Amino acid sequence: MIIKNLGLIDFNEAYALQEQLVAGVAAGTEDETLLLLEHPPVYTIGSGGFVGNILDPSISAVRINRGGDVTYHGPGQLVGYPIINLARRGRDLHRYLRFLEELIIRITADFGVAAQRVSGRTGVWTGSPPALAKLASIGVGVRRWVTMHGFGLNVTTDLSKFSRINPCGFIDCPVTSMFVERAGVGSLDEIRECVALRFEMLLDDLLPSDSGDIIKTRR
Amino acid sequence: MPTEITMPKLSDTMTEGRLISWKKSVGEKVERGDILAEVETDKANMELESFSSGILLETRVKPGDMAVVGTVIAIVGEAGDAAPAPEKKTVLPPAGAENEQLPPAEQVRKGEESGMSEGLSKTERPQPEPVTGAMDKEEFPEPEKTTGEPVGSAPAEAEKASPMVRRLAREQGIDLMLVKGSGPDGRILQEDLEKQVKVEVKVEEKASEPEQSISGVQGAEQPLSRMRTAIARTVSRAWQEIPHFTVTFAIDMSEAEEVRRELKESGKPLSINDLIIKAATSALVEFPQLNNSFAGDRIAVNSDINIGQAVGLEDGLVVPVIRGCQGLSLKEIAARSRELISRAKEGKISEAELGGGTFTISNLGMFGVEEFMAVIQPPQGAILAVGAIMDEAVVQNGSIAAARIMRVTLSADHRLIDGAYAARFLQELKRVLENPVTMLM
Repeated sequence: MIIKNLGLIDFNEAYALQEQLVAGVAAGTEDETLLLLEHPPVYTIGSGGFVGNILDPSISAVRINRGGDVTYHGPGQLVGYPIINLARRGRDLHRYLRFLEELIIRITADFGVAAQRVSGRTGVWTGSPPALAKLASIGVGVRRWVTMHGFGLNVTTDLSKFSRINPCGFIDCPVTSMFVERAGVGSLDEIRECVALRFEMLLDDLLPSDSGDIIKTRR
Repeated sequence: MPTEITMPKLSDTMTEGRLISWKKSVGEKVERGDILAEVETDKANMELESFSSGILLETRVKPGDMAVVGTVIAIVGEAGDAAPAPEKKTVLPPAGAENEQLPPAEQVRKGEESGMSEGLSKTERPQPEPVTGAMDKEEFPEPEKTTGEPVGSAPAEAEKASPMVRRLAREQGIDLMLVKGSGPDGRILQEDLEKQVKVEVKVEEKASEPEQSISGVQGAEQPLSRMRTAIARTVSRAWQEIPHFTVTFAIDMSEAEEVRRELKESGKPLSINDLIIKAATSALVEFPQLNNSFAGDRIAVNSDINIGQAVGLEDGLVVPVIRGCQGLSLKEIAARSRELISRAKEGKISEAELGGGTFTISNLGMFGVEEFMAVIQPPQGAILAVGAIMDEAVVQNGSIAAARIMRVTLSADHRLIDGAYAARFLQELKRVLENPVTMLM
């Protein structure tokens, strides 16, 4: 498995790279890859998402082939795009979503931020009902059982940007960040390192590969 | 031999999936490996591949609809193949079964609709946002699916709901016995709960009024389409929040019509609306406050003049926006406007083209409307309602003359704009339209 840190990269550029990797992974010519990055400010909306969730008409959103509704990406948010071949890992989209949640919950716990799942609302949340706040959003697209898109974990994200949308389609959905939850917990670089270290092991634990290839390419 | 395409099981815990969009239209050739559709479960979307080649003969689920895993959602076969007899109870919304026996004309219509899936990516689902206000992602059945049954007619089915729906119902204090399920065998879906919440709110609001005001005289109901829902929310919000005032002006359009005729004859097609957009742009440059937004504790200043035009559709309207009007010539405005309107009517407009408006023009002149007032689209500061150009007798220099008069009514947000300012804006608009040559420079 390959883990790449792309730094700050334009949404469309990263999108093109993902598409290329998805084709390669599906064809067996590329290793599974995790892209870690930040985007310049951009709003994206899932294919089934509702334009009406963009409250401010002066902003435009990129419609993309992932699940979920509208969200914001911008500096200070750690974005992870895993390109994973689920054909070899049990072909179960819900399990894959739960894996992403588990990964983020464990990472944030490492930095002293307690987060959790909320049933029926994919993503990672802090607090307890009804005072939930969304710490990370998740939206996945799958082509030939190879995944693209993934998660966005707010580290020091400018949260005011979320006030112009109904994040993920929920009205008045509060959004939070690692920084808000616990100032000075760790830099985005440290958190990214932690994701890079943990990702593959947890993936193999929760979604074991039924092919030897993964073992072979592991470094 | 026709092949049935079914809603795939994308997870052990997936019971139903939502058809997001068709990537092929009925009658289109499909190769093995082509992407037929996009389906969604939870926050994950899967591109559905075809495992056989042939022609897409039929689609049985509309974009936005849920379908149970294993349900036949489409048929791929050879041109001569008759689509096999459709199964019953396959599609979740109530009209599913009726839809499957559509008359041929309807089938064609359906095909055309799915064909649009590229542009806006889907016709049914993200219906082009008619308006720009807040809205969540609830789904509403199409109006033609009206069953006429009053809510609460199926108490026996009340237990047919998923654990998640039951939990949501508990949380929201909804009695499932009162909810009419729109799923197969009356299964209660999440959207039914959302509808029920609305019904309950409506009942509370109207409690003091005669009963018939809730459901009409015959007790029939028509569910709201997505577009109607969106319009309803935006105009309610606008009407409740924005203190509207209106100012009307009569403008002599004789010269503007003359300019239009001349340009048309020289092969430069132009509509009266294009002239109004251009004139409004120059007036907005002079009176920029009308291009701004009231934002609670401050005024949001919009540096670009982005003018939206209301385009009427069968069930509602959309407002495609021409951006950066201050930098566009009349010719450019005309070209952009023509393109946007035709795509809006075909349902192919993208959301980027519907958003970002800073001022709106609504023209009902083609219906012979003399004058009317329009509701402001939040967060905009004003909207111009344009009536028909009519032959009127006017007094000019002491004698009666024939003139081509058009009345325009500006609705403005009084929190942002005062009457005198609005009047001066209209004076400028009138000046430009009555001296249209200035627009050609």
